[in-house]
Amino acid sequence: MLLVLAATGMCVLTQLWNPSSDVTYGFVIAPLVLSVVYRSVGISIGANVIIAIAWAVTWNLTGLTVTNHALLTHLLYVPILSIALSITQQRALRKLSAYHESLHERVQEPHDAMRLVAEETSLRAKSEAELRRQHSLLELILATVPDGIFLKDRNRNVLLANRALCDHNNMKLEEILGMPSEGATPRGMRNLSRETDEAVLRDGVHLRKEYVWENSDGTVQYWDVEKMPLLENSKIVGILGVARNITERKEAEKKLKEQEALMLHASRLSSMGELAAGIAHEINQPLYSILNYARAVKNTLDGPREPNLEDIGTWTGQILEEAARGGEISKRLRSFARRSETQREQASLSAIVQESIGFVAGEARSSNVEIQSDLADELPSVRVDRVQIQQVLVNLMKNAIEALQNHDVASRQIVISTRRVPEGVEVVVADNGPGLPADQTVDIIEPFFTTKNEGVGLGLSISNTIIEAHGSKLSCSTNAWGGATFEYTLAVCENQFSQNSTG
Amino acid sequence: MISESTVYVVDDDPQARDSVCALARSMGVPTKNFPSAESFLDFYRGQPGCVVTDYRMTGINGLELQESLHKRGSEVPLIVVTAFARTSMTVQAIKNGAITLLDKPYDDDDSLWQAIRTALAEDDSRRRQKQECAEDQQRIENLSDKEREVLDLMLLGTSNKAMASKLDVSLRTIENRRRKVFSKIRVETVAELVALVLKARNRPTVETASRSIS
Repeated sequence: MLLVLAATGMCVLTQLWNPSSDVTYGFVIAPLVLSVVYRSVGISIGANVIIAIAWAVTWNLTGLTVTNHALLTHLLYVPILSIALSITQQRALRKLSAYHESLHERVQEPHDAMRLVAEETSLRAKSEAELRRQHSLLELILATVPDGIFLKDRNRNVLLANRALCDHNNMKLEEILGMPSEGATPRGMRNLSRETDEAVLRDGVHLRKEYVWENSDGTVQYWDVEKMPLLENSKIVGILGVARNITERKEAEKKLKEQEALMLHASRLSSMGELAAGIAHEINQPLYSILNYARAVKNTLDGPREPNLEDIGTWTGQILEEAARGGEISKRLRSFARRSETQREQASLSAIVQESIGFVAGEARSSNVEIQSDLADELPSVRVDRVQIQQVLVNLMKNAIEALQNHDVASRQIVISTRRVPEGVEVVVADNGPGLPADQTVDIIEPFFTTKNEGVGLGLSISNTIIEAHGSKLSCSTNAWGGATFEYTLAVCENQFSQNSTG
Repeated sequence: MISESTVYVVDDDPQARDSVCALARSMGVPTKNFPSAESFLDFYRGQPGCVVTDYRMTGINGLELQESLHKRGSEVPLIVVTAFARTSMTVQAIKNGAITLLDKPYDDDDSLWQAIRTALAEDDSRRRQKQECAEDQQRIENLSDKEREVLDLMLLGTSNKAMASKLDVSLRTIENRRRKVFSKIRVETVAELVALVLKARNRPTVETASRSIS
């Protein structure tokens, strides 16, 4: 466009100087042709345009008249020449550039290689330092962790051990390295250690086991050892293990358990004390019957008439039954009072409930409280500590009886019901007493919470501890009677659960 | 209808109840069982015999049963068997009369047996006495108004002469009426007469007792 404008301008200039000149055509056409040709060839246009213009201007200024033919020749000569020139020039340039490039490449190759080597060397040096740093850090960590860490090869020889492991075994690192596993393992752990090593090497499993053994001085050690396979190209080449001494923790746990058991035991004894009257009544019932039957037998034998042997048979049978009943009660009491260790067993919840009712029956009777049981049929058995669950039921019933004692209601009632729920078996103890203090339903289970003048207020807290140990929670609420309801759920025995759910 | 002396056994423990029945049976006494004091009170209408009851029972307890019976005017002997004889309980029990408290289990193996025997004997003699008393009352009732006038004055220790002048009859008439009184009441001396009349008048009549029971 600029070219057209320039050419048009030039024609105007030419006409001003020499209006008769026919050069006008040439100046109009020439730039147009030039612009098209130049553009298609792609050579420097500016220079040729200037030459052409200069040529035209010179001719016009000097007054020379040229024919259209001559002008056209000139106009055509310049671009053709330029084109030829520029083509040759470009070819030469291209060749030169190619040559230059190949030359450059030839020079660059070894240069680059050298640079790479240099870079790599420095990088390696750097990473080696980093590696050393990390290694020492790792060593520091290994040395400071209290857990013993070890590495064994497929033959169970020790490849690596940290300070904790050496200390635990009373050995020096130099001694332990390369040693067969047996030497680096406390005597009490050896058998299980070999078994687990073999399992890890054979099956590639990740094993975590607790080891317990007695030292020669009688102290018991507890260890928690985790072992995993060491893989190389997905082949098991050894064992990596972490051994932790958990003796202290175990002992603390044991102590805690002992204290808990003591507390439960004490609370049971206090329950027994509080229940003494009821218990005496329980025990006296069979004794009373036995005395009566025995007297009846004696009367019949001593009497003037021929003794009725059928009666005597029935009565002596009753004596045996009642004696067994008394024995059963005393056995139950003994187990309730004496045993202090937690013992989980498969038990029938209905039987536990019935026995517990037996413990408080006397007290309930004298307080004019009726205890009803609404027990679901064919409940799966539960896995519980029988005595503890009895203790909970006794506590709950005792609380209910005490609440009912001071409550004015036509018939004082406690209902114990059981029913199957998805999580296990639910036990509900409900009474029609005065209910729970509205704002204190949360505190009621707290230790030492009590609304009574007597007692220390541990009953519900202990009950809750027991229920929590059985994986449930003791919850309380006010029921439709306005009385209190306590409930919890006990897990059923696994094997039966599946039987029940499938059949 | 006169029913046979029976041991009424009240206990909410079936085994205990059966054992008392066995004991009574061995003594040749019929028994009747009740699982609660309420059911016994519903049944009992003053029949002869005695009651053996447990103290601790759901509902009415042994002493409350005694109280209910006492309020009805029943004098049936009661044996309350309990594991806990407390002083207050004993006092209350004795106040309401006719009771034996037995500790359970008793020290002596024949306590209950003895207690039942004593109670039955007591009930029997009481009933017999009551019967006699009723007969005495009947005989007093049978006196004519004039004869009763003489009886009343005799009880006051009035002499025959004073009576004659007071009633404005002859001494002979008084003597006749006195003889009638002695023969109708079937006594021979004044002392006997006074004792019988006082006894008969101080006792409630059989009719009143049974009315208050029903």
